[in-house]
Amino acid sequence: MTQLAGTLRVEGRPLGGQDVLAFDPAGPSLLAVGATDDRGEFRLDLDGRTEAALLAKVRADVQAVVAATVAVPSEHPVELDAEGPFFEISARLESDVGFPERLDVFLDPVRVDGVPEALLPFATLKDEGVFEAHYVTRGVAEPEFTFRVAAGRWRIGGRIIDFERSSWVAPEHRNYVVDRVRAEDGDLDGRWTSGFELDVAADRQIVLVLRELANDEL
Amino acid sequence: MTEKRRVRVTPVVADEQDEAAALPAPALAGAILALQRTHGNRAVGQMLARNGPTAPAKAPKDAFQDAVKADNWTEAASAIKDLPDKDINDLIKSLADDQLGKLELAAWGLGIVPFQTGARRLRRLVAFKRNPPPATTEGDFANVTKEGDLKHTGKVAGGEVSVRTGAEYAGGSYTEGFSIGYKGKEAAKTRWLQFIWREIVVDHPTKKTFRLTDEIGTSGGRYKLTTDPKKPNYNTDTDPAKGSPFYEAGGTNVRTADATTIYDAPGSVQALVDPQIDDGATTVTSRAHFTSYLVRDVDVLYKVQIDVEWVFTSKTVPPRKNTVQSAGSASALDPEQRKRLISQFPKVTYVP
Repeated sequence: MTQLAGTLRVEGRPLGGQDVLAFDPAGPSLLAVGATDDRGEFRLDLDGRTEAALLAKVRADVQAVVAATVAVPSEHPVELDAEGPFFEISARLESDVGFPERLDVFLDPVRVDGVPEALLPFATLKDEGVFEAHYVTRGVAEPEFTFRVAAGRWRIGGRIIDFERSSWVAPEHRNYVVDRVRAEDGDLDGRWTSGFELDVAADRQIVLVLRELANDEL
Repeated sequence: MTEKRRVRVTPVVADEQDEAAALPAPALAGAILALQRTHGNRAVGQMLARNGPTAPAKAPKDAFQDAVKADNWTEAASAIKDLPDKDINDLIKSLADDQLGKLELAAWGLGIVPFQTGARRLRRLVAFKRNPPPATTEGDFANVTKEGDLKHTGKVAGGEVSVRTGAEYAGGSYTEGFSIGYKGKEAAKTRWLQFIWREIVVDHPTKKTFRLTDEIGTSGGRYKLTTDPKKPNYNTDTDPAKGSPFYEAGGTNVRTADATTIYDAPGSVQALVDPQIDDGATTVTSRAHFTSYLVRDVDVLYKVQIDVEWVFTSKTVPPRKNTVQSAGSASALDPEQRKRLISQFPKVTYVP
């Protein structure tokens, strides 16, 4: 069995509990899925391959994607390091219609420095035939929160939706979505369903504007 | 050194495990110690057979009363476990909740032994007595403008079930809904218990065909999209804020003295579909799968399975397709659905 071993680090520190995917460099078909252990180490079974495109998901204190194309087998353990730079997105919720107790804020990478364009759409691949709806989803209960992310372009949005709300006679809860995102230089492009695109090359400050979602939009 | 004994323990079936989780831990530990650890299930069964139903000469009612006075709840449960429901309900109606708790525990202990169906039913009757569902409320909570097309009718104890699609309600705000109704003399104590699971399948030029995973719903009812249709992620389809698993507690329904009909027109989950279209998907298929059970007190009587499907090729919501997959008599919930029910409503252990 040909195994590829390596370590995932963020700013030099090993990072456990992260997914590492291997793809065919000729076209992004999935070859193997692994995860890092407490020491940030991972192993991937890559029988019969001579080369693999690796993609490591970094979803911890910082949000990043790390990619590298490596020879198989590799003479030395592979080192995947999310070196940064990382920048802070400071977000604040704004609403004329009240606030939910919790909002699920999502973040998807559109362009990340150092990650091939063809590979990045596969950052949400969970396993063979299964993709996550979003790269990062974090439940926030406070009106202000931050994300620390790799440089590039990210799509951000949020929602808290009971998709069955239209079935209830007198629901006590409301559905909310982030309808607009305002940055230092104006509104971001996007829509509540897919999120709003934000270029990150420095720390950013944004305002997420909520609205209530009507039942006929479910 | 204590001599080690090999004790063969009959595996506890799923519903018994779930029910065990709902019982107080110290009492449960005591019951298990008393009934299983020392002698094993088979020996316990023999012991119960000797000490239970063969108690001579005493009428079950008297044996029960004596056992209650003696605080012997295994004897009490054993005395009445095979009586008709009405007699059991008459005997337990004056018990305090702590006594009911002990009786339920004793019945559970008896019920883990094979062939003790009477004990299992007794446990459900006691559990129902301790945690009855909210009283049914007659009224029109749907404002139906179009009943829809009749797709199925079936006989059930005390009445008839009907299933329709193409229903319009909420004054016409909701269209293409489905309705499931019971009509008969037992309507006042008959309810609908509905489960839902959802899946989203995406066809994409480079990502190929895949399923989407995400957690959806609100607190109290969050569940995951299903990525393996052989292992659906069920959710009890009720408004969690109402504290009852039954659909009528919070869902659109019409209840009269002799009928209860529920209405549903689920959304397509456009919030998850649109990003896939934005990402270049050629087709996104969103499906909601429903299983609805007709429940009367502690009995499951009927099961209806309806699938709702939307096939998106753009962000415009396409017409939905409602399909009645099956409908017919039933006596128990699907085990996985029951597991989900009890995880969300731990006291509702009386539904088999």
